[in-house]
Amino acid sequence: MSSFNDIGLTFVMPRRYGNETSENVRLIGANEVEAIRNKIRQEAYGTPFECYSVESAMIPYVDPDCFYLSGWSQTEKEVRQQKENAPPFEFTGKYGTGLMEEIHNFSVVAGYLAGKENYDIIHAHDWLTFPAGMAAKKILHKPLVVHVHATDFDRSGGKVNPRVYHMEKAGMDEADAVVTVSDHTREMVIRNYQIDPAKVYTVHNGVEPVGYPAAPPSSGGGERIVTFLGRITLQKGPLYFVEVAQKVLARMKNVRFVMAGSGDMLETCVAAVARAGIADRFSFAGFLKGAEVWQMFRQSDVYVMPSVSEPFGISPLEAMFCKVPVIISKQSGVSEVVRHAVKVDFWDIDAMADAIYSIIGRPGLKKMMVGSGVHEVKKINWSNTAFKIKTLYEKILSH
Amino acid sequence: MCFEFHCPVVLRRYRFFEINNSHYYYDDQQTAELTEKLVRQKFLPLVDLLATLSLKYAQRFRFGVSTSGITLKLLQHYQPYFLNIWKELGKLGGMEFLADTFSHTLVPFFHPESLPQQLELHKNLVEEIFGEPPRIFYQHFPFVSGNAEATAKRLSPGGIIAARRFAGNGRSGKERNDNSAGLDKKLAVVDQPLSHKLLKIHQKEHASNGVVQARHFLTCLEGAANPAAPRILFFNPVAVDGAFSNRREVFWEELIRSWLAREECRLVTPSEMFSGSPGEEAPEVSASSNGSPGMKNFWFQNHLQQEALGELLKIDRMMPDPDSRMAGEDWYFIQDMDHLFFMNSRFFSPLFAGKYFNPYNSPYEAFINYMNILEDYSGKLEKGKPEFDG
Repeated sequence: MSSFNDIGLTFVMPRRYGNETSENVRLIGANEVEAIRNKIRQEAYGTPFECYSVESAMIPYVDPDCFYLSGWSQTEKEVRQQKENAPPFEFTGKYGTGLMEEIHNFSVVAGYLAGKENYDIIHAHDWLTFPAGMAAKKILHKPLVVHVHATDFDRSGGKVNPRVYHMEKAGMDEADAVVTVSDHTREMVIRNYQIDPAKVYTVHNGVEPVGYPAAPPSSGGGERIVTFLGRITLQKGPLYFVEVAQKVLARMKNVRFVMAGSGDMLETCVAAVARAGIADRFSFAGFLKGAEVWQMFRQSDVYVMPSVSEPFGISPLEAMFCKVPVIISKQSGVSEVVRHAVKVDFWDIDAMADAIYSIIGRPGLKKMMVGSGVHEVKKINWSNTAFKIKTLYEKILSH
Repeated sequence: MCFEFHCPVVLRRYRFFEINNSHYYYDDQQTAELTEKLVRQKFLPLVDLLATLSLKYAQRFRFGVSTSGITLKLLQHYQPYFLNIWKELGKLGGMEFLADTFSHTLVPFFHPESLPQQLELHKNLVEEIFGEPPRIFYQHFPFVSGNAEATAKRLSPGGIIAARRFAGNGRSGKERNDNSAGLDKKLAVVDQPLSHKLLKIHQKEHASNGVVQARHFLTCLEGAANPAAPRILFFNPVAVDGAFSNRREVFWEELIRSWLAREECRLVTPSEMFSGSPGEEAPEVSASSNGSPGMKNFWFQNHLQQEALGELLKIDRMMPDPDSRMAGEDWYFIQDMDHLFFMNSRFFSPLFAGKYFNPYNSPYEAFINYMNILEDYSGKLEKGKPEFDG
């Protein structure tokens, strides 16, 4: 969006670290807003009040590992209460136990900022910022666009967190336009949140071009690598990957399956691998970031994304950039924009295993998928996405 | 004027873990449904039309028919009543079957050893059903080996109609796209651009009414080089989207009426076209400038097609003697070139001609499924001769 000269962008985030790209964008970290919180509250709402989080084990995004690591304890609670009096707001910018409180505080800051400056459009990304977007709209009386990157139905496999659902729905109801990252998500927004289809627009994501690693993916006499890379949660379908591995390894020996990531189903997957008797051919790589991801792709012969419900899914596009053939679930947004991938239903482990067997064993398939895939993925870029969003802004402002 | 009739065999979803475990490859229900749909939407209306024209113009409406033995087998099995109607059309006179390979295949054009069996099986089946053996060979693909051409000429002494002017048809070099009308002895070439025009007219049937379209086509014909020379036109109703509608019937009736109304125009069967010339010389058949894509673009353009074709040829080489080719009926079904067509690089194009009967969502699916079947079949061959199925 920053490439458009006729748009002035102000990007408000919970916490600034100082290393963010800020070309043609005015960045504001909510943690840096120099205002005493009570003053903000008084300005925004005319009366001082205090907000407390109700402790609950139902914390979105937090798996058991993270929860225990967060060290949520009585001591921390006391420390946090002591900080209540210190300006400005503290934002961790992480999915921690104080998430709900941070969401609320962020909305207070957003409302405060909206009262200080004028903007033409407010654009809130995902439910965490929907209250902030709504607060800003209330002050500015300007159109609100909410951008749905995922819904709680995707994350929870249908067992939605009521608090999250209500925040999502409130934001979508209040919005003048709802942008979804795929038709898959658009249908979900219309069906599960009863949002007027006329104001729901699909704008597919793009992918950042990545430098292709110098060496080609593993080939020749070494073992073949089949990769799963993502959160090991119900949404991503990791157990299907384990079942597929079992099916393939019953026929092919020179193959290793790698599951990279962390999440609440990690232990379940480890147990499933042990039960299947394929532990010698199956590795858990842990959570990868930055260069480690590209290194993983570089070593992969096949990338599999068996997501049960994937609003978009950028990682297959990154794999395609790295010349890795991809197998993706039909229940993903990315399957709407790519052709040169094998698309399967997430539950169809036979089809997934079949595709892996063929990609590994039949060079023509890999050659064609890689050649056509790289060509295709270069056209799926963020510039197109930004242009579509700009067009939507213009449409909203013209009304 | 020649008409093509083609029914594809639908393969079932055959997974890799079935290799060496299961040797049944067909989706019988899908094949039956597709055959029924083709007969109902395309073949029956076309045969009705041909019968109407035959009755209306008596012996003046004459045409050729091209079909594989596999198509006839499928019709025998799933739509026998249609074959009876077709036979009745034959009794009206004026229809001549072209000799073809029994399978709808590329393999004999690479390995001519299998061509005699393919032609023989086809000839026997046509004769069994329609009472007349075909005499003119329809060569729908270039011979990769010069011996194959000699074999075809030997087996089909009446002449050869080539889909295009291929390399190897008495000439060297690549497939030719020129406009020359020169022909080898007993070899005539289909006018692809005008045949393609026929197809386009059917694809745009709603653009105008049938009479106007027929007159437009005649104008194109008159505007083509050497308009008075004999021409061979092919029409394949399966390549057109949707059913054969009334509007299309109007087009054909007007076209044939206009043609036959002209003194200088005659419609002849393929044999009559060749026998009309003295001795061994074929008539000077004119072909418009060939603007349609070469055969390679459809059948073995990309990596998938090349690998699958390589596997097919490998299997064909594994056949130890001609008798073994007869032993497994599966081989005649699974070598169908449609399976290569489904791997076409134009698969995702809205104009992809295979949409009407393509059972796959991508060329990759088509490849995976087909290669699993070929792997099983070659494994079966390696273990011993295939079982006798038919």
